[in-house]
Amino acid sequence: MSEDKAKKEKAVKKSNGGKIVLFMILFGGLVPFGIPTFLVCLGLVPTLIVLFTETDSRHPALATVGYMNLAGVLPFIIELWERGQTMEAALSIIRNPQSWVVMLGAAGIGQLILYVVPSMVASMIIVKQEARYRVLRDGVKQLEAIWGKDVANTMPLDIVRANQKG
Amino acid sequence: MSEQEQQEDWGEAISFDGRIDVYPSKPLPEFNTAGGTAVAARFQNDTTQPCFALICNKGLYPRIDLINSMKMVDTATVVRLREGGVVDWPAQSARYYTLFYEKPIAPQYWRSLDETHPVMGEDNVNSHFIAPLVNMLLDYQRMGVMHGGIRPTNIFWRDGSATSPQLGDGLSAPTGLAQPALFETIERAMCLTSGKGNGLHSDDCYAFGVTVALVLLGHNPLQGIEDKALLRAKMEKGSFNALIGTRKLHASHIELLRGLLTDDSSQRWTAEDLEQWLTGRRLTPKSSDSGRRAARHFRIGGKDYWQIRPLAAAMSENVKESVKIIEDGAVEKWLTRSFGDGEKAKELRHVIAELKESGSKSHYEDQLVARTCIVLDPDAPIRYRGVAAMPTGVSTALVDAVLTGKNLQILSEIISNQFVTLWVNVQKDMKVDLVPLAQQLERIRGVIEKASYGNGLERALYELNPALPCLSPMLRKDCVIILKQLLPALESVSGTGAQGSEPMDRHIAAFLIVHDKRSESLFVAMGESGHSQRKVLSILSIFGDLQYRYGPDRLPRLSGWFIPILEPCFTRFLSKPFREKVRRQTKEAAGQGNLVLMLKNLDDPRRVTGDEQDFLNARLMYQNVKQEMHEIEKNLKDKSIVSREVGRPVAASIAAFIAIILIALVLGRTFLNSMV
Repeated sequence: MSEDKAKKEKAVKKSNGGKIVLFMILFGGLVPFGIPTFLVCLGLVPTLIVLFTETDSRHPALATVGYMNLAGVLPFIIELWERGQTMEAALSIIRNPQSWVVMLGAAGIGQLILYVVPSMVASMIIVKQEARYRVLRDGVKQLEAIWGKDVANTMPLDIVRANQKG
Repeated sequence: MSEQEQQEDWGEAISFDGRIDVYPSKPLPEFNTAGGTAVAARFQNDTTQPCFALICNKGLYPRIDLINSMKMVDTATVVRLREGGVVDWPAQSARYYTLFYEKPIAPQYWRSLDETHPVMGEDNVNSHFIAPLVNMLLDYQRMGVMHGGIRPTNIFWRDGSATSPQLGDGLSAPTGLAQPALFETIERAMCLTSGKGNGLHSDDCYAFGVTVALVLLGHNPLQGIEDKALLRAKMEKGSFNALIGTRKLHASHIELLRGLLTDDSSQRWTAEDLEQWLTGRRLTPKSSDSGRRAARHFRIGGKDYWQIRPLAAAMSENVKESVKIIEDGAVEKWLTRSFGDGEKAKELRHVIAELKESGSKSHYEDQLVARTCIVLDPDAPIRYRGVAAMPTGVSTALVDAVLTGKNLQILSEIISNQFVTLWVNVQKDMKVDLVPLAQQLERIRGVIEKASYGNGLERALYELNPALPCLSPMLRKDCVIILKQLLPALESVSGTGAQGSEPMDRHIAAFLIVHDKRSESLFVAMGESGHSQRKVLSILSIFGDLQYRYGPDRLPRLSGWFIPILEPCFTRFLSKPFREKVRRQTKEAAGQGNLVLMLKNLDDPRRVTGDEQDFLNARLMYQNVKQEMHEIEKNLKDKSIVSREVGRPVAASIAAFIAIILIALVLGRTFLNSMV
């Protein structure tokens, strides 16, 4: 018991240490290049919001909004990189309302897709399942018509035959 | 009128086997017997020979087992049997066993036993009457057959004619059934008419002796005397003295009659003795008295008896009184002291002790008296509860009992109580010959005690009477002697209203077991009440097999008889469409009269197991379907589940697809710009 505890404490210490190293690398790398990119990536705020608000463990909303949001932000990241990753370039992008329209609009389209597509798909599936249900119900009736009501139970065949005679 | 013209007046003919024409509209009453009615007949390939047909339609069953051997007999002293077989009798919608005889040359000698005829001279009688009939007796002795009907009213002859007398029919009824007590030995006269048994050559010689006596005397000296009184007279005085007494006859005839009418069968003349007598040789004179007399009488039933035989007869008629005298040892003492027969007394003691040890309580008194009478008079028939039958007569008595309903239980008890075994054991002579009979009845005892289908009294009937037609009430108007005749008989009875709900009963089952040597296990299901599937299929299986082996190919009415009782066989199939298919196919097969095909439709193992398997598969399918329906119902109740489970991932996929396209366009534009 004390050995397991010691092993767990050692694992946590190792994990914490790794996180610190990763953070230091990211922070160190982000400082010269990251801030301009970061500013442009503010356009990914809708995605971040969905990330923190979604409860579905499979994250379909995150995927939907995130992909579209990313598609909206990417041109501006490319433009920023083309213009040298400078703060001025980032600020000019951010100050341009069109940039926000595109970035947020793409996220908005993703949200729209998320709103419309599931109910459409559900309706189509329901229609199909209702048709299937009807087919199955007819099948059940046919089985009962051919084999009698005892097809629905698990009584021994002797009793089934006796019931049929009765 | 020519023969041809005469035949035209005889009306329509019924054909037997395409060889003999029978004319029901031309009765010949002079040839009637106790077992049959005579009508004119003609052979199609021999129209010159006058014949008659004896239709056995009086409810007595002919001696069919002797037909084939009697057809070989062609002597001047016996009316010649030409053929025997079953004939359709449309007027009564029946079939009867029929015997075809050549017409005798002379008329019936005596029409009645009360007639008076002129007394013939010694030479005339010896050469024209006795000698030819002795030849007849020799023929019968050689064949080992008893005629059983020798008497003046069954002889065809003219007084004093040089033409040989001809003995008439002896096959149309069981042996001795039509023979008056006058012509029977004391033992056979004691029996029920149906219980006399096959008899022996010596019994025929006795009957011949009485016949000769009547012919010699020209009349019946015992006319008007009742059978019981006649029997008593024979027992007390001896047959010769009872019949002839002090009447005057030629010395040679006296010798002849003493020899033939001696009551001791071992001493009685045979045909060979008669042959010697005819040549003039002197034979040892036979005693004609009625047997040994005791020193002191024995009183029973208010009468005194000096001899064993009459005493035994009296005891069998006074059971209550007899029981007392048996149990207190009075009979034993009388046998030892007054009769001097210690051995018989010892035997009696042993038999009584055996009965007591057996613990048998049913009709104990009757059993005791019956066994005592067997010991006292071993030659006499078994006498029990008012029924007297020779061991060889139990079989025919049983037939009569089944037909009339009388004495059935008593005969069953005679067999069950092993009287025949005791009777055989007390015989001094011919014991070896009788052992098979005792063994057979012992086996029959076991059969009677089983109540199951195919056993019981019905089986005993056919085991003991192999030539007996099937006595099923459904087939009474037919004459089913062999298996091949069974299905056509059932075919003709079906649809007449005389049939039962199913073409099987205890008689038919017993008949099949005996004649077809079928296993009893096949008939176990037939004892079930109602029409179970097993029962109906058992019957159909047996009949299908018979049709396959013997035909005919088409039995539409018999097949139709099965249809109402086949319902359990149809409901055996679980699939309704398949059941209807089987029903339709079976009805088609029934329409064709094909029992084999019907059975195949109903009892094909592949069909049955296939149907069962399909049912089980259907059950599985049903469960799967129900499961799927349940899932769909869940989804239909709450659409948000579908939306959440399926719709949102689809939305993510669409968004990813659109995003990929957009990203690809952006990257592509960037690349092109860099090239420029």
